Amino acid sequence: MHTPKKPKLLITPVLRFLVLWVVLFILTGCQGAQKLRDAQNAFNEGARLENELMFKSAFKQYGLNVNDQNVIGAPSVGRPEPHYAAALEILQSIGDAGNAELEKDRLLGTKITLEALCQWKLGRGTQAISLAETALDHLDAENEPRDWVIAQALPALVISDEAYARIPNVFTGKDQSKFDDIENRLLTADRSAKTYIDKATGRAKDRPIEIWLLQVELSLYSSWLKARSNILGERELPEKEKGLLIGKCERLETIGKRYAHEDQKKAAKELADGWRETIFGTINP
Amino acid sequence: MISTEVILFAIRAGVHLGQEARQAYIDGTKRRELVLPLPKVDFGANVDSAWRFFQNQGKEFVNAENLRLLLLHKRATDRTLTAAEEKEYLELRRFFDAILSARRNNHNVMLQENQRIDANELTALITVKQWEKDDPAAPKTLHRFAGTIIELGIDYFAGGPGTIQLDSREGKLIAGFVEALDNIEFADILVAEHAFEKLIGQFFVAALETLSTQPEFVSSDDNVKDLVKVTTCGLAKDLQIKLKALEGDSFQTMRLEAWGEWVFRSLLSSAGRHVVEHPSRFLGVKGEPEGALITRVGTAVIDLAITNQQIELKRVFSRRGLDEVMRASLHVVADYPELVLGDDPNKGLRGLVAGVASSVSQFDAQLISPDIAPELLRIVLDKTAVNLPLFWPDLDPDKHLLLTAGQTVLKILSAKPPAGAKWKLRFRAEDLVTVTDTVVDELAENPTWLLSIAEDADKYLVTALEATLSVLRNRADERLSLDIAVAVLNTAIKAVATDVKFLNKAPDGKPLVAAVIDLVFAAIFKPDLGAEHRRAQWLLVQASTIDFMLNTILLRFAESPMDEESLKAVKQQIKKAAENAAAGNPINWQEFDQTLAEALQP
Repeated sequence: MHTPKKPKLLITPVLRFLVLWVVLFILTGCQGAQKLRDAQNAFNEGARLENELMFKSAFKQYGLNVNDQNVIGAPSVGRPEPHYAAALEILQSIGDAGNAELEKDRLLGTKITLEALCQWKLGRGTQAISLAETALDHLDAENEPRDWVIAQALPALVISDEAYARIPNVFTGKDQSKFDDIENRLLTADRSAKTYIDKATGRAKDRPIEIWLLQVELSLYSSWLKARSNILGERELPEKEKGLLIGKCERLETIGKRYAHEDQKKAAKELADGWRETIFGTINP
Repeated sequence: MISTEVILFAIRAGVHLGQEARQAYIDGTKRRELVLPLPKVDFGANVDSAWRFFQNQGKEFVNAENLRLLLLHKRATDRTLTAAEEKEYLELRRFFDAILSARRNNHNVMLQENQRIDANELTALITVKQWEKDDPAAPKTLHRFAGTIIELGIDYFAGGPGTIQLDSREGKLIAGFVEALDNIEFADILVAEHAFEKLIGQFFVAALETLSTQPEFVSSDDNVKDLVKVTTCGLAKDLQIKLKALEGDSFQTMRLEAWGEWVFRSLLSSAGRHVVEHPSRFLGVKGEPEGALITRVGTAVIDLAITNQQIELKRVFSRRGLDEVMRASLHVVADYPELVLGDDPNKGLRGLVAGVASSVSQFDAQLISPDIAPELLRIVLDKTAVNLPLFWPDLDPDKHLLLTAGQTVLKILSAKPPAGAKWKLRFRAEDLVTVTDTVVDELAENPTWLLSIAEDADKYLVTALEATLSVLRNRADERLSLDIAVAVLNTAIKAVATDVKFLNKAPDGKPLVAAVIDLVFAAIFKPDLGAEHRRAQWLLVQASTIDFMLNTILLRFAESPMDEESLKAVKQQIKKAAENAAAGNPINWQEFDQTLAEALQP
């Protein structure tokens, strides 16, 4: 019978060798993935800045202070667009070989989704939608659930932004056809923003990404309300939509609390209240 | 100085780990969180939403008491607010909405100065990872590495890197072992990572120890790989389900982990050869997952930890004993798979194991060594395999004839001697096992008798044992050793099993078997013998003498009418033999047998 023994003295040089080998493996074999990570970092920075600007202006309005000291990515100066542009540039620098490597590693769908998000944020809606469609060819709802939901919802983001741009900031006289056009784009047409959100919701339900998707949907209705007010001159919220939107805000609060950490639960409530104020003008609709 | 073998080992290990590390890096990239922006939107209260508030919930405030608000609201309706008025209008909205909130909360409003919202927390709400924590699709880095770590660990530590040659016998053994472990779908095991890590660590150590202490067991045979695979994977999954159910109960969790590891070791080391030699029985059960028999035997034993919360398992089951139980269990389930594959887990092997552990633990603690329960189980299981339908008709542990007989033996023999008993020695654990073995043997070898007494087997056994033991307690003294007493009990049991008429009553009310033994012991342990008879007593009290005399007498008695006259004849012959011995003559047992046979002739 063989007696096992531990050659302790040999462990250190062996471990050193192993670490070196592992690092070499990662450095030489994952250049596409590395660039994707760099692009993710740049995009996240831009998105943090954008969200921060949105929250700051909104909550200061309510008399609440957003804690400047705790803002991620401080110092919070500048605009988000340069970060999106940087992310896009990094992604586009990944050549055919890099893309092939990403495809082999099942990362190509993730990469194209991010590229689509960048194009959207830089105002190139057509490219963004085209990329999102391509991304879906490389994504699997089961294995890449977040990216699949984003790619599925991306046309809604583009359409929403385009519709928002068509809404005047002040009421200049009733224009029914103009309102109908915007309403179609946002909510009612066959390929309205809402239809894309509905498609994505099935996979997002009861997941953290539902928080984002709910807010996208609330954004659509917020723009729709703005259009009603500034194009039709109607500020009142119809009862049918009122019930629907109260439910969406409640869902946002519930799901936010469920998936948030303990110290984020308060933020989940504040976020839901922020949307209530946006739509109903009160946290007690 | 690093040897060539170490360098080669490091290269091989480096390649393995490098590949896994790269894949982990890829998974990590896919998993990374993404901060998601929203479409363009006017987030926050605005003139429109403020107007809606004052038209609806805040309508009551728009009155003559709040003239300023009345004015501003009118202008908002007319869309004629200036920028400064818009700001004031929004401030009033906030003010009156706060009043509304206070009312709804019965004015129980927490006052906070410099109320702050952490932007980190808001951002975190729209920062989304690819997979949520418990998403089954999410690759687990630990899982990805687990197989490799185990592989490298076995390779490196099992024999030292210099000794492993892939084409050597040892190398093949290890390769088989590693391949089996590597085949486990770790990601299938949906558990909290720390629990999984701990469990796999325990299994890893157990597997290493099995390999190092029993290299002859692990062969390059493919069936070994299957055995390790199904045992590790099956038990790990099963244990995790049970651990999950125990969440929040740390004590029971730790207990189950420890016991589960013990069972895993036992299954691997004790049952290995058995399974490997009969792969079609254990690894190819139709309609069941591979290795269901092996895993469920393990599960039946693991379940002890759950079903018997009060029993200290390691007191009832020694490691060696557990191995015996495993062997015996696998042996019996090979012929009778229904013992573990039935729908009701409380019936069959699990119920039997739990029943034995539970009943054994109720006996006098001084008597219960960690070998009693496993031995009882082994004895019962071994004999069960002879004829399951007869001994255990509906797999209900309470109706297992052999088990109930065994429990009866334990109960009677472990009882304290009654007050006033002359012979006060207490039986040892091994004595209980020996007598149980005899009882079970006799029952198994005489199925006709068993059938004839059917459900009364237990009652007959009690009668025979209690009566015999009573004779020993009342007639014998300290000269009667435990070995002789056990031999007498075994002889009595065999006699009753051979002829049930031995349980008929003698004139003094004792069963005949006890009456005959009483005659023998009355002669041997007669209290008032004179000095001249002491030599005779010394001769008679020897173990071989008692054993031979009792066997001879019971045999001849069975051939007699077994009545009062027969008893008198026996008494006469014993007296003659004792007188002969007292006279200084050696006892001629052949002559004794002959004379007895003649005297007992009908």
